[in-house]
Amino acid sequence: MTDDRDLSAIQAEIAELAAEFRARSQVSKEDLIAAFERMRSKRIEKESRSATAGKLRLVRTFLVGIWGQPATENAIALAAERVHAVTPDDLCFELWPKFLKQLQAVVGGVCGSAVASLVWESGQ
Amino acid sequence: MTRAQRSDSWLYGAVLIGCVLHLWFWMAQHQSGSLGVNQIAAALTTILPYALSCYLSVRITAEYARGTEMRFGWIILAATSVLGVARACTETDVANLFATDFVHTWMYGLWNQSIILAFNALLVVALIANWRALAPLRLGLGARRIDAAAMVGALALFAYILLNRRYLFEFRPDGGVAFILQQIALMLLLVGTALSVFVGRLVAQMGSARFAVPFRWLFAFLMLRCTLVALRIAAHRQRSAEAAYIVDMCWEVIPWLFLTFVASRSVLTTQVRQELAKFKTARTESAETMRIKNYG
Repeated sequence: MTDDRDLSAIQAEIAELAAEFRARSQVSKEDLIAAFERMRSKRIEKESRSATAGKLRLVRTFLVGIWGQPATENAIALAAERVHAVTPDDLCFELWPKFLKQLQAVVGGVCGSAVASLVWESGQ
Repeated sequence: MTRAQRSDSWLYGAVLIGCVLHLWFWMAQHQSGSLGVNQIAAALTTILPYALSCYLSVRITAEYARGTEMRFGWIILAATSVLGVARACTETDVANLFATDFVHTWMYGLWNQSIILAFNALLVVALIANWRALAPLRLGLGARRIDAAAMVGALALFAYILLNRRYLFEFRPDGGVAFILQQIALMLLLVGTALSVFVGRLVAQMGSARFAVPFRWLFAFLMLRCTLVALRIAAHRQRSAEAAYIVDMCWEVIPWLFLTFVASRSVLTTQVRQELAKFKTARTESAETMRIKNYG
């Protein structure tokens, strides 16, 4: 579903592209395809980040109840580091399963398999 | 009241009732000299907390993957509980039936001090394992004033016990091996208490989170043990039979405190398992609703 905010963002992106093409003397078919491909991948990345952010919020809620805010943030940051994401906000769809596995390992080492399973389930 | 709070209340209620019953039998056995129901009940309730702790520790151990620090820590805590059972067995009046006057022999001093030493050493190892297991959480050791006060308190107890250790029951410079063992056991108790301040500091950063609760009980267990050694010395110094009796009675609470520590960790697992089951059910129901909505 695309809400009004997303629609205006898409409109802005198209307007930006149109301005870029207008400035050029000649626009080839390849230029158009590349521009739309760029736009599409940007949108996919944005959507995947917002989806993983939602999952991360749920995992965070469970973990804060178990061992508090500082330990949760540190464990999430550690798991993100292990999958080469600079911050937890950089996590996208591709990195999410690896991140969840790392987080499960960190949680399992401290709290045991039951809590680790809860983290895994809440992150699915 | 949430389900988690309800299971906590059940746990603390059960431990409290067990502890009160034990103290009741313990006081009754001191009033009646001959072996009877009170002695048997007191003996059983002395062994029970460590036996239960051992069982629960083994169950908690199964929670952790092989090779993890926490698993090692809980194996050590299970072994500590076994030593607790061994010590409790020889300290009861019922044990005297099988080995008459064992308590009054030099062998008893050696046995008792060996068990105490091993108990304290295992506790120190378990605390180090817990500390190392918490390391990935990078909680740091930012000490606050209250921690500094706890450290000063532990140090004061340390100094008092060391300076006055001659008032302890087993302190006889001519006592040979038992005397040496007692000195090492005392050192280990103090090292354990100091370590528990550090672990307590790490856990304090978890605030009121559920994982912090068992470690608070462990901290209370070690601090109380250390305090009671100091109080026992004070009672012997003043040659006050009443004070010694009260300190001995407080010692009877110690195994129950250890049980509270282990049981509160075990309860956490049970609560999480229930949450997990609830979560899975909710997800299945939601998937089913979606399926009906989409396909009718």
